[in-house]
Amino acid sequence: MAAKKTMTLNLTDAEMDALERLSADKDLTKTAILRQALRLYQLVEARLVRGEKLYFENDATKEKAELMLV
Amino acid sequence: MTATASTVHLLEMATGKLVEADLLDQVEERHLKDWDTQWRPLVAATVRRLVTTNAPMSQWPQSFHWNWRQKIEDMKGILSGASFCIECEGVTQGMMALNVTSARTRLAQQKGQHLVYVEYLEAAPWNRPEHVAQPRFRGIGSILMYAAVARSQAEGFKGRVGLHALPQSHVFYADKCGMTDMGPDPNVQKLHYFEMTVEQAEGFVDGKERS
Amino acid sequence: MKFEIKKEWCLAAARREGDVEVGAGSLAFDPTPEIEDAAVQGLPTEAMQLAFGKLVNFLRRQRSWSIEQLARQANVDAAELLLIEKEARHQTEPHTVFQLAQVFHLNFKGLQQLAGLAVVRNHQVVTEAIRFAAHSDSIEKLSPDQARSVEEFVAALNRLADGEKASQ
Repeated sequence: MAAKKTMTLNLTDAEMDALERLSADKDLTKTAILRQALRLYQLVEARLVRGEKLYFENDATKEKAELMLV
Repeated sequence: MTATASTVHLLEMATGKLVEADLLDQVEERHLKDWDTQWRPLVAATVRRLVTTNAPMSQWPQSFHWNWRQKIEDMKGILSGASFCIECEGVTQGMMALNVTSARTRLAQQKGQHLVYVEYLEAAPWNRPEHVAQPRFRGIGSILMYAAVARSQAEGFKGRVGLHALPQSHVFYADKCGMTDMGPDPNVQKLHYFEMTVEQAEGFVDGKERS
Repeated sequence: MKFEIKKEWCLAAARREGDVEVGAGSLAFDPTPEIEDAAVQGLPTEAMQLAFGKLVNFLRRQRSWSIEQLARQANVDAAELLLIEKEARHQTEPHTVFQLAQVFHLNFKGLQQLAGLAVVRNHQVVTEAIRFAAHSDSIEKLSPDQARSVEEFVAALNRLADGEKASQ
């Protein structure tokens, strides 16, 4: 993989709590969580730019609810 | 960013000897050119042969319509995408495209965890008995799966891998890679979804014998 | 990303792998076996391929695309498109047929049969193809009649390839 660069990140208590909880739930380091978040953000943006929409689907009812991204 | 090469070995069937090859961590233009100029004509010849013998479509090479150029183009600049390929004697012998973000595990014992999803994996047609009477090299699928598992471990996913196997490939993923066959997925053309657990991944890279 | 894969591992893996298929990824068509109807014998193959070339030509002109533009849209070779449109005896590559089916939103099975890449199992496909080819012409712009003819043929091809009876 390419050479890495270091960044310092300031988070609020709530943000850090959320990050630590996700890290525990997903059994990933906090860095890995943020890396995945960035990738997902980029993936979503790329599809939105193409004119696509992002939906959640209820597995039981198959009802779709659009995730509103302005 | 150019690809990094790691030395691997393929089994050359004509001689029974191991030959040196490169496992690259990125599919580049020269690999796509090989796909265009060397893979596709051989696949097309197979399909024509099957048509003239009135073979049903279930016998057609099941990846004949895959467009590697489009796939790699779609992945350009996208962080969640990764590609690998194997080069031997200056020719592309196999390719693989991964998604390291969008998929989650489905097996009950590891449900909802991150994994590396194999979007496409293919060996060059001269390495496959459906195209040639005497395949040239063996080991391509295994080495590419090793790369997928290693990438999963590097991401912190502990080797978890998921994929939808082509119907002709169930034996490879179930018996040779030791993955769990979760059966047909109605959302993906009823292809069987296979998943590799942390333990199965450890067994695979350790080269443990399977029954 | 650098790997250290031992020679012994590669040898054992290659022996274990054998000659089994290793492909993973999505399909374009239903892998279930086709219904074993008797194939239509004595097909006017050239007429079918002529109809295929005319169909590609008409659908391209309907969109006001040049051959180069279609080649870009479908991600296929422009030289092959020229042969498809001009040369009735040209054998089209399966991948090209698939890409054209995608870009024109056509039934892939039907287009394969027309292009001579799949066994024709329904005689109506042949009839519709010959009728279409016989009525087509090669002028720059599609007349309303030609446009209608294209639409009717495409609808018939899609229906027949999916096994339904053609409507009267």
